[in-house]
Formats: sequence, C-alpha cells, structure tokens
Amino acid sequence: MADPRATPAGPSSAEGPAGPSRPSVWARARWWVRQLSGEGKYDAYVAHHRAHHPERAPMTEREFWRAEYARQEANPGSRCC
Amino acid sequence: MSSHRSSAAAEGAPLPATTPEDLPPTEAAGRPRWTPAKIAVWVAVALLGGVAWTMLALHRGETINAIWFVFAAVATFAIGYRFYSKYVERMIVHPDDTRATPAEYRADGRDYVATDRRVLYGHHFAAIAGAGPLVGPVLAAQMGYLPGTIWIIVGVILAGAVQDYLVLFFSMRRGGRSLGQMARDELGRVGGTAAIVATLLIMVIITAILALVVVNALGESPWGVFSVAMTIPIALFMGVYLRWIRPGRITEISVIGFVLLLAAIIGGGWVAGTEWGAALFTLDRTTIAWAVIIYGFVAAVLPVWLLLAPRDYLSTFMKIGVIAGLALAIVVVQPRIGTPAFSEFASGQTGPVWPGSLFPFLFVTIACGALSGFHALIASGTTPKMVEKERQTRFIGYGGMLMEAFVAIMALVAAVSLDRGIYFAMNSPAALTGGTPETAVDFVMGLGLAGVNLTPGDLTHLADLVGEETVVSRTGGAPTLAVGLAHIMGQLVGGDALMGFWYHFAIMFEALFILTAVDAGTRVARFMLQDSLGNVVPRFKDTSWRVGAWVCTAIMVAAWGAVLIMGVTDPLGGINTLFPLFGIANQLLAAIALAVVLTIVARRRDFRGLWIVALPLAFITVVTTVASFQKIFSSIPAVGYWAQHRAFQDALAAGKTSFGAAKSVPAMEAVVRNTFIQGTLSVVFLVLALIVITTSVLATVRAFRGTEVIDHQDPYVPSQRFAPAGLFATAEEKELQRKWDALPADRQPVRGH
Repeated sequence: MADPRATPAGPSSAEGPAGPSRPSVWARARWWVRQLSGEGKYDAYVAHHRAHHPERAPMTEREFWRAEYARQEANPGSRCC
Repeated sequence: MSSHRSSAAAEGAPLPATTPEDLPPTEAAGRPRWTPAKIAVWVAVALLGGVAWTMLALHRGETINAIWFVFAAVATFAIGYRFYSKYVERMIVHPDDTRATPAEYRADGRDYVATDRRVLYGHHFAAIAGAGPLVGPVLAAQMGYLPGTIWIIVGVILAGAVQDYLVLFFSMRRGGRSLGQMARDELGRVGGTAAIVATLLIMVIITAILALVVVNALGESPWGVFSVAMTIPIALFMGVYLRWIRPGRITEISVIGFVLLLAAIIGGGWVAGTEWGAALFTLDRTTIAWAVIIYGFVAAVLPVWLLLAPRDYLSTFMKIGVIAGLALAIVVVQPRIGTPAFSEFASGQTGPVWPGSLFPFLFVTIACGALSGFHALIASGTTPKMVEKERQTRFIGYGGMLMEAFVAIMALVAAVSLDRGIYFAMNSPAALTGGTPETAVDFVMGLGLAGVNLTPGDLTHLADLVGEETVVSRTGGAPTLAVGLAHIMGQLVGGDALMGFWYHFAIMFEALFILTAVDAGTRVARFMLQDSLGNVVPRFKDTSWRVGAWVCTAIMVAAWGAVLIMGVTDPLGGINTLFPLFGIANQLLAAIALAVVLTIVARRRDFRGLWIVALPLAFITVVTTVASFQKIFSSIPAVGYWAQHRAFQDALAAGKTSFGAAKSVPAMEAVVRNTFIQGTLSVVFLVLALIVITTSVLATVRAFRGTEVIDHQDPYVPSQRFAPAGLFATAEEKELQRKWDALPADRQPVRGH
C-alpha cells in the first residue's frame, strides 16, 4: 500500500478547508462549492495522483472528465425513489 | 479476518493507537462529559418536543399551526440521533477509528476517496432523497395528519435510519460491497439469489410507478409538458458544454442550467396560453406514457455525459433549493392545518385515495421517509467507499436518513395544509370523481367529511391559479404537493400571481429527478440483467457489448413500460391500485436488507444488541406480509387484487357490458388482466422476501448455537489519518485536529474530494 500522506491537504491546495494556516474566506468558499458540486473529484484525483505516481503527469481536466463519465457508464449507480 | 477489533486498540492491545511513525492518535479518546449546560440544553429539547407532540396529539381546535410539526420532528430527531444512534453504535456497530476505512487502504483517487464528512453527507443525502418522501406522505394524508407524522418520526428513528446506518457501516467494513454481494456472502446461494431477483423486480415496479407519477402530473397540462420537455435540450446543452466547451465547470453550468430551467417554466406559461402551444402540448396520459417509455430507452443507451450526468446536476440543484425553500417557507409562513388528526378513513377501508385500513397500509404507503429499502442499495454503493473514518458512518448513515424524514414531514405539512375538499377532489381517481368539477364536488360532498364545503368554483379557481385545465383527479401526489407548495411559497413570495409559477416549479422539480431515477434505474437494472443472463450466455457479461446492452435495456424498459401503461389505462385509477404494490416492494427490500444485517450482527455474536435489528425487521415483515396477504386474499374487491379479478371475471361471464368503474367490455377485460398481473406480483414478492427472511433467521439461529465469530469484513489495516466524527468537532477532536494540522506538509494525509 502506498503512503497516503505524501501530499498535504493544506489550504494552499484545493483539498482541505483547514490546515496549519487558516485559508482565506474565498478559498474556503471555493472549496465548499467545488466539493458539493462534484467538481472536487478532479482535485481529489490530482492529489491522489501526485501522492502515488509523482513520476507521471496527471490527466488534464478534459481527459479526466471523459474518463470519469466512461467509468460511470460502466458502473451505473442508482438514484433513489 | 474473522475477529472484529472494536476497542482492542484503545485498550492497549497489540496495535497501538498511534502509528509506527509516531503520528498523533487516529482516534479521539474519552467520551464527552455531561456538563450542566449540556443537560439543560437536552432538557429544553425534550420539553420542546413534548409540548409539540402534545399539541399535535391533543389539539382539538379548528386549525393547528404547522410549526408544531417542525418542532416535534426536529426535537425528536435530535434526541434519536444523540441517544438512540449512540446506543446502536455502542451495542452493535463498534466503530474503530484506529482502523483504516476502504477510502484509506484502497485509495485510488476515483472511487475510493476519503471525503470530508460534511461533503459526503450532502452527496449521500442527494442520492437517497428523491420523489418517494414527497409522494408517500401526500397520499397518507388521507388518514389525517397524525398517523403519518407518528410513523415517519418513530419509524425513521427505530427502523429507517438504523437500516441505512448499519448497511452503510457493514458495507464499508467489506470494502464497499453491494447489498446483493453481502446477501450472497451471508445467506448463501438460495437466499442471495432470491435477494437479487427480488431487487431486480422491485426496481422494475419502482421505476414504473415513479414514471406513473410524472405521467399523471403532465397529462392534459401543456405548461407542464412544455417545461419538462425543455429540460431535455437544456441537459443536452449542459452535456455538450461540459464535454467540449469548459470541462469540469459543474457549478457554472448548473447555474446556467438553472436559469434556463426557470426560463422554461416561465416560457411554459406563455406557450400554454397560445393557441398553437395548447394544441401542440396538450397530450393525453397514454401518449405521455409512451413518450416516457421511448425517452427511457433512448436516455439509458445514450452516453452518460450527454444526458444523465447533466440532468443529475440540475436535479440535485433543484432538490436542495426546493427543500431549503419549503423549510424556510413553512417556518416563516406557519400555515394553518385544517385537516383533523384522524380522518374518517383512519379506521375503515373506504378511502378513495388508496384502499385498505391504517394497519398495514399506512406503513407501506409511506415507505421513503420512514423506512426505505431502496436506500440499502445506495448505502452499499458509492458512499461506503468514501467514508474517511469509521465513526462518521453514524452522522452520514443515520443522520442522512433523518434529513430525508424531515423532507417527508414537510411534504406531509404541505399536503395537510390544503383544504380537505380540494385534497380529495385532486387525489380520488377519475372513476370516482367523474373528472369534472361538478361531479367531483358531488363525490367529495358525498364522502361525509366534517367541515368540508367545496364548490365547483373553488376547483376551477384553483385550476386557473396554477395554470391548469383542471385539478380534478390529478392523482399521484405530485400535483397535490405542488399545489401545497405553491400555496405556502405564494404566501412568502408573489401571492396568487405567482401560484402558477410555483406550481410548475414544483412539478418540474419532481419530474426532473423522477426522470433521472428512471434513467439510472433502467441502467442499473440492465446491468443486473446482463449479469444474470451472463450465467447462461457468457457474452452478456461483457457490458460493453452493444447488442447485449441494447437487448437488456429494451427488456427492462419493456418490463416497467408494461406496468406503466397498465397503470395509465387502468379503469380503476392506476395510482390507487399500484401504489400499495410500490410500497410493499420497497418495504420488502427493506426487510431483505435488515435480514442481511441481522445475520451479520448475529455472526459477530452481538446478541445483546440483536433486538435493535430484529425489532424493525419483525415489524416490517409483519406489515408487508399482512399487506401482501390482504392484497392476495382479501374478499373486498377494492383491497384484494384477486377478489377484484374474480368480480370482473364473473361480470364478464354473466355477459355484463359495464361493471363498476369499467364502462365497457374492453375496460372490464383490462381490469381482469391488470389485477392478474398485480396479484401475481404480490405473490412473487412475498415468496421471495419470505425465502430471504427465513434463510436469515436460520443463519441467526445457527450463529446463536455456535461459538465461532464469523465476519466477512476486510482485514484490519491501521489508519494513518484523523477526522472528527460528527457534524461539529468535540473539544478533544479539535485538540487532536490541531496536532495533525501541525504536522509538516509531507506527513499530512491526502484528503481528496
């Protein structure tokens, strides 16, 4: 298992609302909006990729979302009644 | 593999609470202490809840303020969450925060992503809450306000939220395994197969009845048809935008889509007012049903990015907006409720909205909101793969379901705040109301409802206000909820002038997520079918095989489409005959989920807490069994499918050309056919669920006799991250969080999503 702690979840990146130094209100609002709308999926992917495969460049946002929808196509999730 | 290490680490057993690298602890130690201030707060919550329940139960005046519903719900949910869910946690869950969740030990940046608990709560809630909690309570308002309120609030605390919480937790412990896989693991081949077949059938029924709700809401409504049809080009535009113009900008395109949606609603009012618009978009229900069937097939074979994903964003946006708006409006407007606590139909079998007595049919009419088996599919889907810490499952699973129950309470408030005369005119089938304002008034006044004084003018005036041809017999719950919502929102913003807008806003919002559910449900069902057929013809297992995908999609669409057409053309009404089947199906799925959980808990040898699962399982087994038996064996035609079947068969044999609500021989033949299908489905559901429950009880008894702990959970991996458990961090958690935050950047955990 690769070390899951290799990259910070700090305020300077988009990954976390909390950190050693408090992020600005704007950064925190942006974080929440991105997380709740689902945009943050890409941030999560980039953070993971940087931590685990630093030798390779991550997919661009465009490539990522293509792959993401292809994955959803292959693994449909239900929506409740 | 087999032992669960609930508190071993905390007690200083082999694995220390800190990791070898001397990270701060991954689990907050100690329980929060009771302080006088905390005790005072909980006493105040309990008193407020007590007063609110007393008002609801004993109030005998003309009207009652809707705010008491909000107080009763919020206070009871707070107590249930703080005390009962903690008890469940201590007795059978035993979360262990020193243990890594799948999001940590399987982290892949895609499915398995440790997600902030508050964000995950939002995503989980958006996935579980749909049209169900809005429709069921509206139909249950036939019984008065109290039976539905009690069942939603008590049911969610003891049954619904417990099911969601436990399924989420056990699925998380199993790396995010699905309910079907867990059923196979715990119940063996027979029980597992029965569970999967039942799930597939139930998905067909649920999809069909949700589609029926939309069709009923859009029939003869040019405004509704236009604005809902416009959601298709809007979603396509959003899909193209996200694919080629600005990939990943979901927030931005959701806002654009939302503005376009509002324009479609306003434009719909204008189009419906023109001659060509009325001519083009006034469609009868059969035509709309066929349109939904064709749409369902096309949507399910189109790429996800083009239609499903963008519409999903839109519907989530609308869902949160409408729910927040309705909550705010109820608190601010505080509508007066004129419906009695118990109506004239609470003890009889004569209700026109749906037949049957309070027990058991209230408990299947309100499924989502109190206990919904469908949630078990969501709670064993994406959410368990994203939980950051084990203790958070209480907040996400139990707390998420409490929020859905709150939505159900608000839907109930919206329905009971309507004039009862209007409620029954809207929700009784056309077979009873005759379809015109005059005949509907005759019918409603003939029901002998206390304090109801309905005139045809009231019905035509309401229809004018909401921009519809008529409001008579608009069954299915959605139009009633829309009128209630328009009424309440109108008092907040816009008054009568905006009634039409709010009404169609509500219809649009329900139609949007029902269509999403139809699309997603068809896809899931298709995969399940392909998986099953793959056992016979291996090629079907390949889900990228186009022909197989199309064939299986067509089979699933044909299955729910047939039920939909049956409901739309049913001479007896449709919703009133089919909705009980929907509720029974959903509750049987809940029984299956609880049976699987019961087995898991028994095999972990947590017998002291077994009653926590056994209680809702026993209750819902009795409810669905009695309901199914009545549907199969009741001699009252309105209640029993087979009694109805025989009555119409006999009438046909006697050479009658008209019988009851069926005015022609083909209509009578349709009733014979429909009741045969409905009756057969009732039998099949019951048999499947009883197989699952029996295998589960046998496994539980075996576990009780044995001595071995059997737990199919993933092996223990020590966690190397920390996050608070609940919505708000405790003092200890904040202290610990500060230690984690103080770590150098290269030792911080990756918090994704």
